[in-house]
Amino acid sequence: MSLRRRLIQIVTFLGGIYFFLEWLLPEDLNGFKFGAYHEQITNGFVAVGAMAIGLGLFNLLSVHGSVLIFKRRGWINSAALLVSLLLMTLVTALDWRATAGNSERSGKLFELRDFATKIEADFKAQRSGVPQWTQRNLALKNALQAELERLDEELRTLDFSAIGTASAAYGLILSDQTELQKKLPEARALMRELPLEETATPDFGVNARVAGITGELAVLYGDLLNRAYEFSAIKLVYRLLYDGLFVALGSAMFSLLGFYIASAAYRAFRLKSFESGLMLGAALLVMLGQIPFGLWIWSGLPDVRLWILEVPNSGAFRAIKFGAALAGLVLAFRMWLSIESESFSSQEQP
Amino acid sequence: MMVERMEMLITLLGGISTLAVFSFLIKENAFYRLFEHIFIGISAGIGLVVSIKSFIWPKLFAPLLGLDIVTYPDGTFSKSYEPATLLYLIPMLFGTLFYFIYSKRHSWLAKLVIGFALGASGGAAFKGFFNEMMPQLFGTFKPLLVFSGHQIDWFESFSNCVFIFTLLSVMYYFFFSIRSESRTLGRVGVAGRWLMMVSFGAFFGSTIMARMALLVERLQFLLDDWSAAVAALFRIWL
Repeated sequence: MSLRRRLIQIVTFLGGIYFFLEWLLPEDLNGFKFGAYHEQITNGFVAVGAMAIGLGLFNLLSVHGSVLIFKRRGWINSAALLVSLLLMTLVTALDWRATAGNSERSGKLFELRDFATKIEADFKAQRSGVPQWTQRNLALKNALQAELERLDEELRTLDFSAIGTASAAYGLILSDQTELQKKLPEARALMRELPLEETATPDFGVNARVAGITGELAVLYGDLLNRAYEFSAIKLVYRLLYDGLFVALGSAMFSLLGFYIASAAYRAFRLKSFESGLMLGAALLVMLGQIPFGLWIWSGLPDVRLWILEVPNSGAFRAIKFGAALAGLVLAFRMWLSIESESFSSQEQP
Repeated sequence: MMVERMEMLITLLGGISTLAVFSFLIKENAFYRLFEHIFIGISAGIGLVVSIKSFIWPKLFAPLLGLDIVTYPDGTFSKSYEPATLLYLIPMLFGTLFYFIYSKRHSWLAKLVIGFALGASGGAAFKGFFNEMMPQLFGTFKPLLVFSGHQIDWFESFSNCVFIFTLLSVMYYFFFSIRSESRTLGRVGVAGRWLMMVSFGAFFGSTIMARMALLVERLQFLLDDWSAAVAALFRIWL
């Protein structure tokens, strides 16, 4: 056996050993927790697979790019594929950037909310290496004041009339805006109450209330930004591609199978034998039990349908599933030990 | 106004896409093929960005670059940088071996990472099998006689008996390695085949109804929303 082939088999084995041991070994092994870093290790495994993300893209670009460049048969289709791929990638990336920007804007308030509670938590835990709690409260007050002023200014200058004043969305946005403007003075008043004098037993009740109101403001501001974003140019172009093409084409492709399944049903349900009769009878009962016409024929049909699906159908499929899962397990074992994939680890081209 | 126009455009494009796919029912044509390619391009574009957005960025790059750490107004941090995250660079570098698949001379390096992924899925299959199958296996042990208070619930008892008989007879039908000359066991196998036919019929019926629901939704979209959008478009032109 060549060295390369042996190396591939060893790496294949190493790939599976962690998950196998994680399943096999007890959680606590004389104080040693084998799965303590399970999430990080799983992320590492997924990182290996994530690097393959460019393979599909590279294949699509090379196959359709060459068709387009050499103007082979069907080059218009390849051009359409490449344009839609690049356009969708660009628009989805811009949509991501815009939503991330909105999260960042409302996230500033969430950060201040967390900071308000963290001051108390750090004081109680007597955490070292952090400034005194009065200095931290002062920093919180200054940052909150600046953020509330920025928010107030933004709320006064925002104009959503382009959405259409008669639409329901416009009403919701205005309601968010009014609610935010109502809460701002309350937040300012609480902010001024933040204790800044050194005492032996500080009262962090105000910090908790500041955290509460800041969290409420953050949620409302986030809702407002998200609602307004739904009507931005990027979102509308994204929806044009997503709803107008992706969703419509996907649904139509799947519904197209409805026609083919109808013709398959004609062949499958021909009453040729007792067994095909059983199949036809069960299918008819299930289909009739699902539509209002079946209910009109006999009110008990939905119950019959449910019984067929839950009892004989469930029993038969569970038996098939047991067999298939057992076979899958054996195959996985053979794959892991490179018994199944002799040709894979050999020198031939993949 | 612009929003309304855009909504109309989305509906119009959705209708044209639906008709393009349905045109395949007549015969394969250029209109269908064009939209089929557009669908592949759009799906690949979404898939690429979504996988970066939902996994690669938040789980790998953000912790690696320390971008998930918040700096508070007093200069303290929400958490300290975890140098162990740098270890993610190892699987990421290993994952780049996938790209050697394009090299004739070094393609065996790609086999390393493909083998690793196969091995990982093989190892994970053990846990998956027991986590998924064990609850189902335990759930199979249903009481053959169900009591409701002090009385026997005949319907539930009958249903449980049918369930267990179906399960055992179908499993017996698939045990090709154990064949018995016994007529009784032979009949159990036949009953298993019949019950499987009932099950396939029920499954097929459910599938037909699911596909029909999608078809009805598309036809309703064409007849209600799309036709209204086309009429609105004509009104604007005229």
